[in-house]
Amino acid sequence: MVCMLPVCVMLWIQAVYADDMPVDVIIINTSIQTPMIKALSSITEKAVKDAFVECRQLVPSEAESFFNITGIQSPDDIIGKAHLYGVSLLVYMRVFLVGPVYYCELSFKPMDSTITFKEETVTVQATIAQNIPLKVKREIIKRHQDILQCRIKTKVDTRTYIIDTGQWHGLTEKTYTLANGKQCAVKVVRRYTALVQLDGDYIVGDMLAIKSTVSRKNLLEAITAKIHENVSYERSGKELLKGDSDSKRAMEACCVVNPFGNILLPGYGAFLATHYMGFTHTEPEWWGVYAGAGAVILQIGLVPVLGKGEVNLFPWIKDNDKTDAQHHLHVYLWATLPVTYTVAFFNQLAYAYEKQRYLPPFFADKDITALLISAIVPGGGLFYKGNRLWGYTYWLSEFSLGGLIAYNWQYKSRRILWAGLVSGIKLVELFHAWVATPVYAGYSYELSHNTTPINVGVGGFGTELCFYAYFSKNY
Amino acid sequence: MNICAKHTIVTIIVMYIVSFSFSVYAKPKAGFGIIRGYSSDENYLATLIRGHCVNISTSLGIFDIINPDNLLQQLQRLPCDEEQCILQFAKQADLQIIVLGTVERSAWGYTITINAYGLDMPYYGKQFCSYSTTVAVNILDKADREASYIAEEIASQFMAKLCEQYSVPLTIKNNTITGDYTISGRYTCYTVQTMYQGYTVLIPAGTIEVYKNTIADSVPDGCVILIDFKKEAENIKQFYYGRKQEIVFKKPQAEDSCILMAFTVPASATMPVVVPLFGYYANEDYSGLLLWAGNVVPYIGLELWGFVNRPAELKKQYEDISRNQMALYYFAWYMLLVGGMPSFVDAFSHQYLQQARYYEGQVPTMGSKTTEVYLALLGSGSGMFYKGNRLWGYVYFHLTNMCVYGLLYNYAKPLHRDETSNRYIRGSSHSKPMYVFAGLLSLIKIVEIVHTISVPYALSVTSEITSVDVSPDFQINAYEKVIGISCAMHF
Repeated sequence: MVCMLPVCVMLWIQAVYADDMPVDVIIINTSIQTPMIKALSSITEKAVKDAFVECRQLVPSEAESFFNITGIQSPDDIIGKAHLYGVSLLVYMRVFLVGPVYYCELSFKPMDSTITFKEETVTVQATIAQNIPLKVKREIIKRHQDILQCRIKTKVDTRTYIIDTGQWHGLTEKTYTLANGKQCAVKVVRRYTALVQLDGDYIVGDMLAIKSTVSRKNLLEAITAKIHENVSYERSGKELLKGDSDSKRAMEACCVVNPFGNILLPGYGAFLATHYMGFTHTEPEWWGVYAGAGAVILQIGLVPVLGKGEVNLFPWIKDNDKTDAQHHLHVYLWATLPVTYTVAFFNQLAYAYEKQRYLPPFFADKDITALLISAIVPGGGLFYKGNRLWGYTYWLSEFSLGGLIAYNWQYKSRRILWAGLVSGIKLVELFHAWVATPVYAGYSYELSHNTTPINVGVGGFGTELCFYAYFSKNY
Repeated sequence: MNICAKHTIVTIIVMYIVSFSFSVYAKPKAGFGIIRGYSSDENYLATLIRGHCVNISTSLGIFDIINPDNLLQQLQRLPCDEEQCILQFAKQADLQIIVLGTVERSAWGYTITINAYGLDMPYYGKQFCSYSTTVAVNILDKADREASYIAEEIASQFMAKLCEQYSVPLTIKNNTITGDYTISGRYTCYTVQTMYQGYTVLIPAGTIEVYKNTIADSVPDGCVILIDFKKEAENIKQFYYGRKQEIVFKKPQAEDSCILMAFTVPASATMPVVVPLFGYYANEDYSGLLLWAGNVVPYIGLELWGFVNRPAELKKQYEDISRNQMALYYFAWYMLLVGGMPSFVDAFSHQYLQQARYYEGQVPTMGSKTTEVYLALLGSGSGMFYKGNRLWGYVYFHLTNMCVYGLLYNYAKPLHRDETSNRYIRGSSHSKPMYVFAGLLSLIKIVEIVHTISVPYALSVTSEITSVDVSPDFQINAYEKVIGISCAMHF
């Protein structure tokens, strides 16, 4: 009798489990538990579980829990037991490390034809370990649909049913419209089940489709934001400065060190100023140096050349050889020298950040920072996001149009025309700076999606004599 | 014997002990289950939070708390640690509340999620309270005492939310409320209707007057009323807010307020240089700097304009002095003597409150009622900035400045130069609008004083999204292939 107690209890627990404690997904962690991988694989396993919890459609369970509950001795028995317990999906996950890159391979094995997951293997990769769980989560959330499938568990009377969906799935006591247009009045909600009243006659096992209460778009955006946060934190220039503030250094380098450096060595001074930000590289971006130096020479020498060498070199002295248009242009060109220095500096910084795989300061708020920088420096926001070509394009166009305005200052109609054009370009630039995606390779790599955008393969439906082939593209 | 069987036996024994040991209690039995963390620091914070939750609940006295160590041990021995299993365990153990949570590390701090589930009527296993917050600290960088304070604050916020949202059903028998609580007041009475095995609903059946558990009207036996713990929730909030002030603010001294009063004019006058450089930039408060640049710099421009084009200079050039020029001159003086003070207060109190939020020692000058009243009287949002409320600070700042300018404009007397007599002839003020602006200014002042005194300091260690953030969003959604425009407001 005493020996029978554990058996009875176990059977009771199993019976309770199968009836009241739903399990739709089993997560099987097959990672080799090396010290490097152990923590990451358990966090990733939790992330897989969280992805299902957040989507509120399939109730997940870790394999260990399922083994303990069902008394499975060997992992090979899992498929049989999973069928027995009405499990809809098996997710196999394996975390591994190749060089500096962490990978996680996810294999989905659907056990039920009603779920949207198909049999496939997805691999995600990241150089920042914390991003692996997030990317895994993203892949799972992407594979959910916006429809919540509820199965009728019990028929109470002609209109009243118990369904296998409850508060956990986001159901509340109100009337829902089903996908077939009929009404479903939820009368009592429990954690995993609900008592509903339906129009029409249904039998046990019928499926009801309700619009999911979860916004996948918001979940995916939140994950992208977290990955961005992790990359901004891990790749910030703080490491270069050994504890000093990279934001303060950036401001000082831009406003103090760089202008003086450029006065001494036009173009090359911008490269030297990057060292104040902690970079120790020795190779500048030479085209940027030439462009910066060339622009400075042009700004200083254009009006003397236009005046055939007879005009005074300094803009604040207006001699008789200088026309009004030349004088205005001269003042403009000298006044915009600090802008040229700053553009040269931003170019060198963008190059250094890309080469050294760091990110600029304030990158957590990259869009608003780019917008503000662009509002002050032509093309600045695009340089900030690493897009140097667009940065130069905006700077050149705005700088040239500014010069035309200065040169045609006495002609009101032309002045208004050029001013209108430059304002239009500025607005486009501000918008572009705000929405542009950063082009730093390290950053793009961390935010990238799974490495198998196209899936081709064949599979079978469990033990049934039916096979299928598939070709799919992930978005 | 397999692992499952072993765990099952242990579970049954514990269930038996727990059920037996609590059958004598009538208050809701609450169990503080596992608050999980994966890394050492997450675990450390989780353990501290759980401990403080238990302490707060014990001191509240409205729940019967299961021995937290025993419960933790048993939960760890459960064959599965999924929510379903724990709820099943809690149900079998005859608990009314079970609390579960997680602590997760993120790039800038921790995300703490704690959920409470009700096992009996009216919840039947449903989650009735979900608390989620972020705290931007590295708990391992903190000394034990500070770490404990932070955890206690988080626990208090969760417990306040739990008390706010939890209801206990009390059954009516012989026109008397049964249970461990003595209650008086007006309550809604419910009848319990079972729709199917275990699927019950509470149907309102009117309100009843209760005095010391006795009902005046005749109510059928078996009806229930729901009592809540909102008062206890408010008490928890008040207690921990007051306690935090005691911990993080130095004891207010009258001299501090006097110094601040004496310092008003120099602070206001030096604001355009001192605030951006030694306030925002030195403390790396870039959002403050941006807000200052957008909100205050235009007024500094007006101040400069007013002084540059002052009447004495215009008189030298024999020009007429318009009402607007006179008003700008007066406004320049206002900005120089008083108008710069709000920015000064904002720059420095923001930094002090930041330290106070994370228990980084005791900060001076803050927490003084005298200073608070003085700054509220001074107006222009100074008091709100002092309490760390930037949004309202800038609202009052602009409203006051506009009214002050309106008042000065209507008070100003323009000077018209009479070429024949070579003298300036003084015009008159606009009395009526001037009184209107004076009245408006007084009204704003009164509202500001009352509002400032009534709001608490922004001292919470957890991050709450309080700022208004309207963000147009132009994007191609890669997942659903939707092109659209969205506008979101978080508050």
